[in-house]
Amino acid sequence: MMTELPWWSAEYWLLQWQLFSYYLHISFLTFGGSITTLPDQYRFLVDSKHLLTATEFNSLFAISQASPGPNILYVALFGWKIAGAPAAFLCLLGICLPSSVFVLALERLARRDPGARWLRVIRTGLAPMTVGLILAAGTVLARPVWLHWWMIGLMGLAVSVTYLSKRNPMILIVIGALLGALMSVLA
Amino acid sequence: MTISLKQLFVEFMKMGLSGFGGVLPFARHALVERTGWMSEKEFTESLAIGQAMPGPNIVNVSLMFGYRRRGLWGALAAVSGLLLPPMLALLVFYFFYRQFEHYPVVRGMLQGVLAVSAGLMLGSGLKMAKSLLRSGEKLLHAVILALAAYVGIVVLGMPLAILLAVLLPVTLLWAMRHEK
Repeated sequence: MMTELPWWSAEYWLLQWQLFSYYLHISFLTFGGSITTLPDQYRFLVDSKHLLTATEFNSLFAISQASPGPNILYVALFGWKIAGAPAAFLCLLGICLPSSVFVLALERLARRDPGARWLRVIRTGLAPMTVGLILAAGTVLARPVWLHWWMIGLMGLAVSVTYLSKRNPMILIVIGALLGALMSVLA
Repeated sequence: MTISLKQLFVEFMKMGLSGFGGVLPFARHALVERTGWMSEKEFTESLAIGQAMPGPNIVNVSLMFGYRRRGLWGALAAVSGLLLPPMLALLVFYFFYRQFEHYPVVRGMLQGVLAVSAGLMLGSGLKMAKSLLRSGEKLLHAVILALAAYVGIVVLGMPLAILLAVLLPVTLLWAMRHEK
């Protein structure tokens, strides 16, 4: 639901700020890729602030997956849907800015001593937590899947192909779109 | 080899625009194989650090690469090439979607894509879990941490900030005891 607030109202910019500051804080929490924060974005945008419906959230994410570009861009699409062009840019900037500053600062430090112990601690130590977070994101994303047997089948196919091979995910996305179109015609 | 800011922007824009379902494979191909700007080793190391740090992996790789070659402006050129043109492409794509969204076929296609995305995510999570389980000695710690993260989000619905405020210190302390 695109906001009906006029761009010159204080509420409009308050909404922009609310989105921007949410994504600023989430930026520090994106360990293992932005995808690990997807459940939290759902909690904030859908459950807590009612800025998007569950269906909107899921379809916007799916649209971004079907379009080229870094995965992170779904954030801009959420912003666009909620409050137009400024929000699209602010959400993307918000989720990238703090982590970028952090990474550049670390890059400077790491250049002095590439084998430093603290670097190894971070690199190996975070892995288990990241795995848990990614599986959690997959579970949250899978919620609408259980409605249709063909979606369950597709998901199963994607899980096994990813797990067993290094095949390009794009082929699976195309198969998913085609099968989805076919099932909607048959229904 | 010197790389101009414009070259950085254009090359990362190409990667961004061609990357379907994740830019990473395209980035590797462009940086290592096509331009030879990075060695295989340098790319893998940047990726490992990019993954361990907060922030989108591929954004981190572009930042580090741009920064190494051309300083702060280089980082900015690379990351804006990677993100901004694809963002415009996505908004155009979305505009067309809006014209056709009331057709059941379009909705069906999205449901299909969504099912695949969920599967891709679960599949890569499982794959990472497998390589973690192979690593041996720290097994119990790893399973407890992964499970705690999963339960906190899926079962308890905790805000990520609170969950990580608890898990991060534990994680890093455990890792410090193992990495001598």
